[in-house]
Amino acid sequence: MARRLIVRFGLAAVAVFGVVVLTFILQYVIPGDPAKLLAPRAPSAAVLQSIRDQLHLDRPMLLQFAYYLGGLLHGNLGQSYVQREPVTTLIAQRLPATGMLALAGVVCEMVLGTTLGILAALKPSVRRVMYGVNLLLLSTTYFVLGLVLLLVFGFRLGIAPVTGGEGLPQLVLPAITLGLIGLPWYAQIVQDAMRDALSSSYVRTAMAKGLSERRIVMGHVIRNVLSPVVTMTGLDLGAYLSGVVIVETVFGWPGMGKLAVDSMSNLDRPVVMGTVLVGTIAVVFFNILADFVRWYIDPRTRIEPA
Amino acid sequence: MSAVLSIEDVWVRYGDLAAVRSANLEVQPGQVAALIGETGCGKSSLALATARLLPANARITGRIAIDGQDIVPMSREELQTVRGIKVGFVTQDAMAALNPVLPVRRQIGEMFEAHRGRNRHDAEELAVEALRSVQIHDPEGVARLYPHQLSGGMRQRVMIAMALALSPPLIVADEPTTALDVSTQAEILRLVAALRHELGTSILWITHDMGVVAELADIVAVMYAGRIVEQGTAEQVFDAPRHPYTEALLRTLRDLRGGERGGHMYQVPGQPPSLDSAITGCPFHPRCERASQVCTDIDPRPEVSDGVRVACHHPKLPVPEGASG
Amino acid sequence: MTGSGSERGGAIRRFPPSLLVGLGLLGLVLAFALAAPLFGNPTNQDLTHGLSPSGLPLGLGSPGYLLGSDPLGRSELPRLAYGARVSLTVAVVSNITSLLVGATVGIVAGFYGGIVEQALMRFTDMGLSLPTTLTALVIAAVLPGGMLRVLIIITALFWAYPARLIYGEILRLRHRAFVEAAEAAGASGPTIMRKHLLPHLSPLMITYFPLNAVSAVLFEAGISFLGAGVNPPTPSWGNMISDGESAISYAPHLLVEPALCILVTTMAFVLIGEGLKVMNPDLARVSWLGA
Repeated sequence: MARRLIVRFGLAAVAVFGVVVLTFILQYVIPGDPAKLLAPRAPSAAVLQSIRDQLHLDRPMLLQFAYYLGGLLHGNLGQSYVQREPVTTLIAQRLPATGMLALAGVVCEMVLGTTLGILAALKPSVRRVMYGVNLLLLSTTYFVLGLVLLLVFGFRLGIAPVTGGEGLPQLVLPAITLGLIGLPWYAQIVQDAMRDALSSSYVRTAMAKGLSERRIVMGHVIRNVLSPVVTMTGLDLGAYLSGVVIVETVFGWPGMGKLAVDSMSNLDRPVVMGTVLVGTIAVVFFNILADFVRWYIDPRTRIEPA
Repeated sequence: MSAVLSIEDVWVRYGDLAAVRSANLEVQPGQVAALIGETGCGKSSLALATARLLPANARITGRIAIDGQDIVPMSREELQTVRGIKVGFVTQDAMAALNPVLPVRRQIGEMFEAHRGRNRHDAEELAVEALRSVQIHDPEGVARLYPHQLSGGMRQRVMIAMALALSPPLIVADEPTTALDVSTQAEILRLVAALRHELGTSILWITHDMGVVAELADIVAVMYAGRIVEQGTAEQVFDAPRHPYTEALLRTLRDLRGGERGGHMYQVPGQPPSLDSAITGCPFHPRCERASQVCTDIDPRPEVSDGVRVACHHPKLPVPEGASG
Repeated sequence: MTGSGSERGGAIRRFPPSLLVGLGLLGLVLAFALAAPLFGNPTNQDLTHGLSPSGLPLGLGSPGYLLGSDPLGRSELPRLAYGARVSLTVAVVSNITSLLVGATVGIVAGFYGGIVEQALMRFTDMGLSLPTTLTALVIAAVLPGGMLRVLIIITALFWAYPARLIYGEILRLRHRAFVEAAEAAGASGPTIMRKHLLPHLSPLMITYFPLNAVSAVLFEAGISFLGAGVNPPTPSWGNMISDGESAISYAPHLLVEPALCILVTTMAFVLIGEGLKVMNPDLARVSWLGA
């Protein structure tokens, strides 16, 4: 188990390092002179030069990378060009909002998706309806659905707030948007897993033991269904984070995603880099977490790969 | 003494197809009954029917009484008082039949939780005892394991322990040793023989391999095309088979065992009829050496003589005692 | 396994309804895209005739502007049609390129094993860990706007998943008898990959194609919406929604029309994917809807 942990973390570290290199290289290709952007109005040549020195902008690339890495390891992601604040501060300010939204969205999609998947597996009428619902939801995307919901519930029906903000009422529509887009994936996985489980030999054995239906579903079926759900969550994360970014932008939810998009238009390079990095680390981290949850739930995955 | 298992005129149909036709069988307390037949003869359907474990599209008619109670008309709730308690079921593929995500002690333990109202802790201790009773050497260790961590033979022992957990009077075993290698098969057979001795449980053992049950069985029923074509005590059926199919099966068995014919193994010529073929007359007649016109026209009804029930127009009656050496 | 000869012939004779409906819808969208020049000029801003007297976009059914106009007086109908061209191009081209890259990586990694396998798979892990939208924004910043940028971004972000899928398949196929036989017969690596492995992968790739198309179309719409894809004045359904975002409370057609177009197009691919899955049930693991 310890060995597995180390291997997993090792692989994750490699992936993150790769992204670090990538973001560093990309910095070079993004237009804009950092010195000019950071400098106060009408800078003199001397000021510009001193900024260049501070940022080591005149040094060879490899050395700059070394400084960059060093900075990262100290938790320094650089300074925003636009807001005169360290990138880490900016991100840290926005992270809780994104976390809250992401959590709310995951709860929505998992609860809705799993429940509907279970019902669809047990009742044919639900299954037919779910086919249509899934078809519709799979064919749309975050910003489209978000705007439609905003139009209907915000502007037409007036029951949802239409301006941005961080409160609970503002959380509802974006979380539901995230939940609805993710719903069909969970519903499908759960339905398939339920179907497999219900027709399996071990459920027949459980029946042969004279167990009640409730005990069979709760004790035998559900546990077998959870494993693929967790796998799904793990794989879903990268796409999910993207969804969060777009949903934040559409609804004006002040999270990390919105920060990234705004910084993009402002050519605020360090912030964009910082958010990409933090995003990647989050995805990697939650992936590992999902792995270990699944390890706990499904003993078959505990066998070390050959 | 009332029978532990009483199957009377039982038919199992899937839609229009009849997998089991008018089966009649009685198993007394303490008896081992072997149900023998080729793949597709309906023996599994009959076995599953005894615990009402057939899929939803199957219909059962007739009477199946376990310990005196007819289970055919029972509701799901009523069946929960019979399954596991009055009849234990052992299936062929233990790997698929055991829940992969639960440890062994939970899978056996839940029987005590559900039916005897024990708490989790006590139930798991009883599970360990159940494992001990099937001659597993390290029951505590095995109890903690998951099905995929066990060998095939061990899994089968677990299934047997699970079936016997509540000491039911009847065990139905559907090809329990078919998926095992020969030496493990022998082990399991020894175990079952010992348990049967100890506990006096009745067993309905379904198999396609006569050799497996030859030693163990008290009564033998041979199935062909959904019908029980011959039924009697083990001595009667093995020593003096009356139905041509039984004869053929025994010949194959002897050849397998003896091996002295110089590589020429007897095989029953032809194939058993598929479920949906329209058979007229005796289903075995296309493959039968003794078949005559009446066999083509009329499906023979089972007739009893000397305690042997046989469905054949030309049964081979045994030579009376003392007539030959 | 996948059927041979008569089994396949039988399947073709009974196309599932989902496949037929999907292909039908796709045909409609294709026709719409091809007919684009017939509908007028998508970039023509007419602030006098294209807007109402109070300067608001025209609604559905206005004379000369069948599907209304946008805040700059441009007619929605031709814009939607040209947008269809964008989406269809993305659905096909970036789909193929990302699949090709992914398949190459997956096959090479799975087949050669060893350090090549490890390196490529780590690289794939990286590709899978990247937050897609954010990375798209970053790449978008360095490339000039337009279709090529979109194609590059999608290829760069979408190759990793099929690489992983195909790698898994290759691992399963690698030790099959026919590969060992070919190796024993002295066939070279690329030959084996081409002649033996590729045919076995075709069903998987064909079934994955519509799934990938859906993701590509939706992703392009998303990044165009954010300004990182196809930029105005070239219409893309995504940037059309972005253009109309501020006006959606009083001119909802600016949202609804492109949204419906996206919906129909992606639904077409989803249905095609479902239909292919029905025809090839062993590929159900790349499926989604559960009928």
